[in-house]
Amino acid sequence: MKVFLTLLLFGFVVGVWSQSDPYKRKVEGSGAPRMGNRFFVKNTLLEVFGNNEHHRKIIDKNFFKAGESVGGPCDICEQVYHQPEEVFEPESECVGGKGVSKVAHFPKTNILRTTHLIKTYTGLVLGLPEDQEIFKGNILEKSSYAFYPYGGDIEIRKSLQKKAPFNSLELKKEVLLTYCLSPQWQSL
Amino acid sequence: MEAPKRLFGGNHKKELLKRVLTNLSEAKPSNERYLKEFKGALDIFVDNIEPFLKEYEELVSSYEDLIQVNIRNYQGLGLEKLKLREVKPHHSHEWGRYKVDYQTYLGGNSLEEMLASAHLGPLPQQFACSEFLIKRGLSSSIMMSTPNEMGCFLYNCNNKGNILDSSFERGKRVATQSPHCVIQMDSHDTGTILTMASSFIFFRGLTACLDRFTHQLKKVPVGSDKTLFDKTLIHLSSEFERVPTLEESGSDHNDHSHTSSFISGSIEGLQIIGNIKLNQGKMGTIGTAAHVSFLKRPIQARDIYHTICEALGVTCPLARSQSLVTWNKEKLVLKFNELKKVAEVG
Repeated sequence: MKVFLTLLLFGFVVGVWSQSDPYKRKVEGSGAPRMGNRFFVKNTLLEVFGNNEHHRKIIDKNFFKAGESVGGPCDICEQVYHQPEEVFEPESECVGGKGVSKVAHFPKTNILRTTHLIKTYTGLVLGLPEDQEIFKGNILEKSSYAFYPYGGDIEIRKSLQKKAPFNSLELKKEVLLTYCLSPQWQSL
Repeated sequence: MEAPKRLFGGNHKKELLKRVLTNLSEAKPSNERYLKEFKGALDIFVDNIEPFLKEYEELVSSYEDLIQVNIRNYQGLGLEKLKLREVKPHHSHEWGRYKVDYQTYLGGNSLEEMLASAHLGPLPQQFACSEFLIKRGLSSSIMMSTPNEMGCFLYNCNNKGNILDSSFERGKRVATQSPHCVIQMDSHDTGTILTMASSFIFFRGLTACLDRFTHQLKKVPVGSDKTLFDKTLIHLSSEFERVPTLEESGSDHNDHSHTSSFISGSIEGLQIIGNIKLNQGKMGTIGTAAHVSFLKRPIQARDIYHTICEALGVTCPLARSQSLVTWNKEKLVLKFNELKKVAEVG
């Protein structure tokens, strides 16, 4: 009995202490999840849709260049790691048009970021031809694997399953777009 | 005005995106904030801001024209009756870049000619921007910092008095003489007549802008029986009132007195409150704030702040303050009604 009471008290004390931990409170109480930055999103999209010039152009124009909204500072050390005695573009802050070095690594979600995402995804998805590989077969399975290869999309599947079967191209694009725009794969 | 293109293409694309939004909303647990931003993006953003820029430029022109018409209207100013007169010498002050000798403003220049170069600085842009933002719901809180009643008024006064214009060059003060002088400062030493004239014209321009602004708000319906004007509170204010200097050189700060004006469709009729102490010796007929029985002290800035909080429906964080208004059947009414002279000193 005495031992039991001691453990109970210890558990109580730990619980109270952890609740009073200011760091923990700060992290839990932030309200907005951190999102993957432009490098993360770009790499994922090129992997899903294919790494070609057309897709890179859409992503760069609509998302990658908006560093201040979507986060992801460039690595200014790239200026130096070019050649042993050479520096890329001495006047430039960032190499290769990446722009901005003083933005958040992983920003909170914000309306500008969401707007850029929508522009990017509609450009990518709606421009896909009907004979694209992803539209062949089960679009739900393919989209799920593309964005959630390790699961975590049960609720999205349930929501989309109501619209099965996905016989039209329009529906297929809707499924793919839903997966693109779902926030879970973007959250860190 | 051409309707701006939608950001995400035509109706077809927008309908598709709305279906995607519905799909994501049904996938619980949903990221509420993300979905709210998604919806906001669909509602607010457009593809091309050119029509917006054009609309803004048209608004600026409207306000500029309005101001010019009003500040060139000298009716009521009594310019024809003003006579140039000799004033007593007064030690002139260094005021920033300018060495001011107020006597020169009253000698040799026609006041009307002096005022011909007047303008109100960035006021047209400020009102245009405010109207644009409020009407489109792009902001719920705007602050305009207007020029003071003297600033931007006299740009091309003939420098018949040969005022030496002082400026800083390379860390040193350098005196330059120009055929024109620019009077662009506070009104402590610019001469009472000039101060009076510029204030008269400044408020004529400002109130014309306010009149147009409020009329534009009244044209925007909100709900079935209200307009944007009913849902907007305009607070017109400055730090303090002013008091004429005894040397007739202009006006000084009257930090014992303040005026705040509130303009809204939720306020019924013209209402004025506040008690004034008169005849305070050198203050002449200019009043200072006096106690009101409702507060047992003068109205103070904290009460103005509390009043704004009450109007906006937010909790005021200042404990030792009182709101001067309360809501009664969707109208803002005063909690007390005192407007009198008190405690006259003979």
